[in-house]
Amino acid sequence: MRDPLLAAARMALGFSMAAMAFVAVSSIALAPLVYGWRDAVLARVVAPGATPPPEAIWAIVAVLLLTGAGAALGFLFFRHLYRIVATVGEGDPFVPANAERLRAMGWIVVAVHLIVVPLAAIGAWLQTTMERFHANISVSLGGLLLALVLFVLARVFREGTRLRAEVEGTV
Amino acid sequence: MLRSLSRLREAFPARAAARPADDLLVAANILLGIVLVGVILALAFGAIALVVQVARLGEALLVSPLDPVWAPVNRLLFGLGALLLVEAVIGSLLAMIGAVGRGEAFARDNVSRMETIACDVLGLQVLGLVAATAGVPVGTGIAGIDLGVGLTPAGLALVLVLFVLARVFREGARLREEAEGTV
Repeated sequence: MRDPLLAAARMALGFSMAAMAFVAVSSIALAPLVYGWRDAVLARVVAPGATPPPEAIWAIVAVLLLTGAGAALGFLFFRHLYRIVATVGEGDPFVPANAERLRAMGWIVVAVHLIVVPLAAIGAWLQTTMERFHANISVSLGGLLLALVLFVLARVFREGTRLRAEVEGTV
Repeated sequence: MLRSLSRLREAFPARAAARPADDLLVAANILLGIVLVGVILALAFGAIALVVQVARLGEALLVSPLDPVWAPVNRLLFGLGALLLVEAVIGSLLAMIGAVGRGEAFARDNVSRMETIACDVLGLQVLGLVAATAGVPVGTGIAGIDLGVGLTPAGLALVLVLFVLARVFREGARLREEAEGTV
């Protein structure tokens, strides 16, 4: 990679992929552990003297699993982006695969929003039940906007692929 | 503010042109339009709040801007700056989508719009960094709109990807000119 812009982009995306993979693996691995030590975990999150509702442990496990699933999707998102940047480095961004990748990224953003809805609901419930649990999760309009922009970009890339085929056909 | 208004003018003819094109572009335009209206309203509220704050504090402001007296004014100033940048990004996006609707995705204009968006998002990151250094909380923005201000690894990755996309659009523009030249 001689190009500094592409090298920096690849590095940043590689870092994002690693961070997402770490979150996905650690939160999914943590779920059975939290269930195993449920008494100790619940004792830590409630205020001293209070008794936690028994279903709270399932809520915590669900939060961990949903977070893991979201991070796994985030990993896939950044991997698609990494591969798109790689094709730019190879000098040809207008390959049909890139349009497909952008479309997949748009759907990933939609899926992440579907995960965030129950996550936010469970998080809010946990917050009202337990004093020491803080949730800061919300569905954003910006995210939905991102999905739409990705779908539009997928279309733009398809147009680019068509143009390239046209240019190559006429040479 | 003037620049923001000219962006608006630029954005709306493009919106109209894209309307008959197809559902995806219409959906993108509507959502962007809603966000744009929200941002412009927040800009108006923020500007009024700034005038009120400055009038209320009056001569108390005749100290260093780092003095705690300035805190509410600084928050509004940074918030308004961030809103202007967000507004510029949305204006450019609307104009780009308009061009896609007209079948001119790879017009040279779109290359410079993409670069403008990348620079504006970079500006938001820098603004967030400056605000954090000065101890001004701008994260929640004005009127509860989250502006995505702040220097984050994801934000920097986004800036880099936007610059890469600008390059992709330049390549597309080159291809388009080549294709037109050979017809």
